[in-house]
Amino acid sequence: MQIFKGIKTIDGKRAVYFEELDLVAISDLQLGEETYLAEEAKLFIPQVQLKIMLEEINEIKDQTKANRILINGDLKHEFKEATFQEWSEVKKLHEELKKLFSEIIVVRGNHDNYLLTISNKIGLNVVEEHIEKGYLFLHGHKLPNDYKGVHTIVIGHEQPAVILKSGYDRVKLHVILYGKDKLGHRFICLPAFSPIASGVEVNVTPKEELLSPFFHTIVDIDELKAIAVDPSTGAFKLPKVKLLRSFLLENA
Amino acid sequence: MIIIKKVKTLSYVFNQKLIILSNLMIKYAERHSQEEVEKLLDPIVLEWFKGRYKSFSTPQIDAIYYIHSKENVLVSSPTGTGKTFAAFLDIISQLIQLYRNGNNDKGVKVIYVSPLKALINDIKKNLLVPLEEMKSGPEREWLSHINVGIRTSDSTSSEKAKQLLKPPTILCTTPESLAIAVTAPKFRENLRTVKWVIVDEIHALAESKRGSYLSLTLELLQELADFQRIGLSATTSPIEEIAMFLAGSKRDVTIIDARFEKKTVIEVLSPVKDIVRASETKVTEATYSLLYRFLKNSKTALIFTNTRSGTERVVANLKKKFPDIFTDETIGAHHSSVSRDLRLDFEDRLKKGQLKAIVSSTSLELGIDIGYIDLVIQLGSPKSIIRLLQRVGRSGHNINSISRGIIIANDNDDIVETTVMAYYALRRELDKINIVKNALDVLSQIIVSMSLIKRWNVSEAYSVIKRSYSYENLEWKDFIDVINYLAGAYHSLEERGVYSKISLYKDGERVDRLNYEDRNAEFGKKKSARMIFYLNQGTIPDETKVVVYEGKRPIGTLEEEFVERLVPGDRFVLAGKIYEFLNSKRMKVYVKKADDSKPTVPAWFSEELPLSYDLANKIQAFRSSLLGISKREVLEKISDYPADENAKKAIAEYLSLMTKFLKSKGIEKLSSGDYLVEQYESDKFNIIFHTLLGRKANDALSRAFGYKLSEMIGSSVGVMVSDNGFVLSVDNEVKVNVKKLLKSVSSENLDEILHKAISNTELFRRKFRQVAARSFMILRNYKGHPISVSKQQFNSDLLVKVVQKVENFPLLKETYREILQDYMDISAAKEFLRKVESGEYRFIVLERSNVPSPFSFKMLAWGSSDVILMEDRRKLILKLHQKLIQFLRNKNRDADI
Repeated sequence: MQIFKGIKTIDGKRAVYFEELDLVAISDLQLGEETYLAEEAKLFIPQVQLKIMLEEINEIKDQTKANRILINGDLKHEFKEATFQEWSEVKKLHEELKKLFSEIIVVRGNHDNYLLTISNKIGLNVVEEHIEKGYLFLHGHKLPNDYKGVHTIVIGHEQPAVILKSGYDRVKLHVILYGKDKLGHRFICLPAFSPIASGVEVNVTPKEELLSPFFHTIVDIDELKAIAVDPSTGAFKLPKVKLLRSFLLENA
Repeated sequence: MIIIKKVKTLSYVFNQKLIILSNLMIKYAERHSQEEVEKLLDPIVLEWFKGRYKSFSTPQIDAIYYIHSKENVLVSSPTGTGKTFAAFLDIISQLIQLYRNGNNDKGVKVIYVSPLKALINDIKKNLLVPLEEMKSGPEREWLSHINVGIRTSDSTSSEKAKQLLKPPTILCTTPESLAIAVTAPKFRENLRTVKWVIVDEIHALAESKRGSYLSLTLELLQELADFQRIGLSATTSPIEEIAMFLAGSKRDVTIIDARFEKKTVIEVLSPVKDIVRASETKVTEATYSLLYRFLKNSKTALIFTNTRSGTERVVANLKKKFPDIFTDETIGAHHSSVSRDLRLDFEDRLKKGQLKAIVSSTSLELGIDIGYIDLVIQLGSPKSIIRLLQRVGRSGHNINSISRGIIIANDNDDIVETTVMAYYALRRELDKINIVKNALDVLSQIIVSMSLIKRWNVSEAYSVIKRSYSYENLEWKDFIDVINYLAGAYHSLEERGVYSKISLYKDGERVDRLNYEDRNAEFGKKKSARMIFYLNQGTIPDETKVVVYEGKRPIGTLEEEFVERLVPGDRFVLAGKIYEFLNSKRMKVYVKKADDSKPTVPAWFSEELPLSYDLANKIQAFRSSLLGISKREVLEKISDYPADENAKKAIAEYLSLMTKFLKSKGIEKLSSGDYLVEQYESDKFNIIFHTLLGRKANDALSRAFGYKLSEMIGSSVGVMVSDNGFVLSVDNEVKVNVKKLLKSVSSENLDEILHKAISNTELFRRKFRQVAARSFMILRNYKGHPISVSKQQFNSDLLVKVVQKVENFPLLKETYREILQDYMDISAAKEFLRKVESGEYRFIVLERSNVPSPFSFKMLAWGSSDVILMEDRRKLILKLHQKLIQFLRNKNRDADI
């Protein structure tokens, strides 16, 4: 399904394919969230995230044949310190990605404090933002310095999802948000790739509670459209967020 | 009267369990005389007793006789019959004889375990007085060797340190503090001398996971000392099972059955002449007038409501309506949300006889010493015969006085229910409690505590655990799964260090996991585990209150269980106002005011006690026997039921309305095996199942039929569960083949359907969180810092999502078990379905109609209380997508997609 010209969904995957760049973008992997939860919340859940994500990435590769992958921030859930245990999963993911892709680009996110210090050790390419042929990839927790030569902005960070409800039926779906920002750029917000992320319900959450500064400045989230991505149905188009808000309220 | 029976083997009592329990012998106490018992007691004790009392009560005589005979003893008698006193009297006498014979070792001799700290404080006081008085004779200085100590979560570390140096002869404690004492490296040495363990209020413990925990802890204590077990129970049933719970699965036990020793009078009252036609306001008004009449004429009355909120309401209204006798000084509310100081103050004033009435939900059911109560008033049905007898048994201050109870019913169904209940209570036909079996989360705790004691061979540990009646059928496979879970085997190698709570060994070498064949492997302690165990053990889930917000303003709190039931659009009462539920996020509930509309969910629904299955069956038989006959015939048939004239008239009136309704449908009579299914059209299409089986069984059936219905029609289904049946509701335009629906659930597939139907519910997520906390997967306290529930809660759906991907995860198995067996009653539901399949029961399906039957009124008034979501995610999404497109079309915005 086409999002913009040359930008496509990949079935029901929480990822986007950029034809012109031969590149797949994913965001918010939150690797090691289990360890974080164990240490901080004393909640000891078994680790399954990485395994599921690797299976997904393999399928994405099969479907797109893309040679490059970009992780648009928050590769890691939280780095408390750069110990072996902290980044063993990062290392494992990196090794697996190397087998599938000729280039791996990692954009720094707000959770990736220690990433730079260890990325050298394992030869991981980490950048603040990635600009290529007018495409600007950045995590989205802060705004870029300028938009010179940019025609498309791609962020993550917000982990968008929507709720659909009618009578007793209700369902929550992860979504790709897309549309034009107030300056006329094409704008895309990627869903969280982590299989255990619950997602932020953007048609319920008041605008002022959204995380990314983009939604408080150059992007009106209500004017963005959504594409639901779900393994059971694949990708399908939804209307603007503002209509999804009123569907929820008026169809109760 | 004591039931006098000769020694019987279990086969006589309990046919089905014969094979498993062939080694165990249950004996019933024989009658003994005062003289016989006097000979057994030490002169000091006897002299003290005779100086104060005339004679022993019958249960006291038997308790002394059998405790003296060194057998395990279960004493079941109403509160106030002096069983605790008798137990201690004999034990003190035996202690004195030990000292006389020069036995003077240090160490704990007696352990008294009670579920209530309040009771423990009472006991200490009640023990110290006689001990002090006995000392007053000549040359009895050595009696001061007998000292009494308390060890609960309130004990300070200096108190505990003192106990280590000078162990109390009699240690009074809770199950949780005992569990710690048994593992404490130094203090446990003081327990090697234990000769007697008294478990008080054992009936209350047996029904819960706390009981499972205590029964395992006692087996660990058994590894240290050989002791006699003495269980003290209020009136309960089945008494043989409680006896086995006390003794463990392979030990003999004697039952002293004095359950019906106290004379009991119970009557059901209707507050108004014609409750069938009276308005709710009128019934409420009349109830208070009736209360006033009884309270004025009694010295001190104990009023039971079934809910905490009801308790507060009754106190407030009595004060408002009758300020002449009810003031802050003469009446009070007593329930677990009332602050401790206030509660103690009430208890104290009760003992002094200063209160006219005290209103309680459940907290005063147990044996806290509350002094003289001459009347128990039960408002609405207490839902079980046992509970009714336990509550009424709180009146009449000694065994020779009469327990007086009245039940004021509040509507038609309530009158029918309480009349049947009171009838069987007086005939001593009790319903049964359910003992929790094979709880794997409690097992996790005990394995960790065992690991702190020594390194165990797994087979040896397994056999110790299986000695507990709560685990006698524990599967080896489940046991090993739990061991593997605790060893971190479900985690990756690198992370195991963080997750594991025990260490595993095979042939002396550390290993990561066990196979089911590894019968000689060992487990032992892990360094950080002791601290984790001390700070997180115990089985009572943290009471989680959810804060309710109207916008940004907090307006009150709701119990987690209540929130479990809410769906968007539900309206409920909070602090006297009606609110509409919008959504809940991270332990916060968001609502808006809905003043003009009526509530769709009854307040405090979750607090309601479920009707017992046995009683439900009796009510079903009662109801159906009275249908199809005239009012006069009904009145004749129920003439010897313990209800007043208005109540009996109400029953006749109510049932004749139902008879008329059935006649209009061409049905003349119903047998007790006939279960009606109505199809009622209103704003929704409702399928009403009149399965009078109690809420626990109906919870299971409703979810199974609801799930199948959802599958059949491809839409979610509203579910309302009650004691008398359940209602499934769907949109009116939906066509439902009810006959086909009835065939879709069977005793064979019920398990499987329910597993699917509950796995994706809020109920499951919350219960899983509690199981995970009990299994130390979520810690409540780490290194002395409490971890906020909200921090843990924020991802209970994530938690479930993740563990559902792990095979054989024992905590998931336990969550299913707890929901299906403890929270619901899947075996009762299965038994019902089996009887339908065999033709003993049948469903009678009525035609679609827009008039509901009289039996349906109350069920329908509650509105929908749960929803079974469509299972097929793809279909659900497509359906919602369709609705969305329709919505956009109506707005002329469909081009927007």
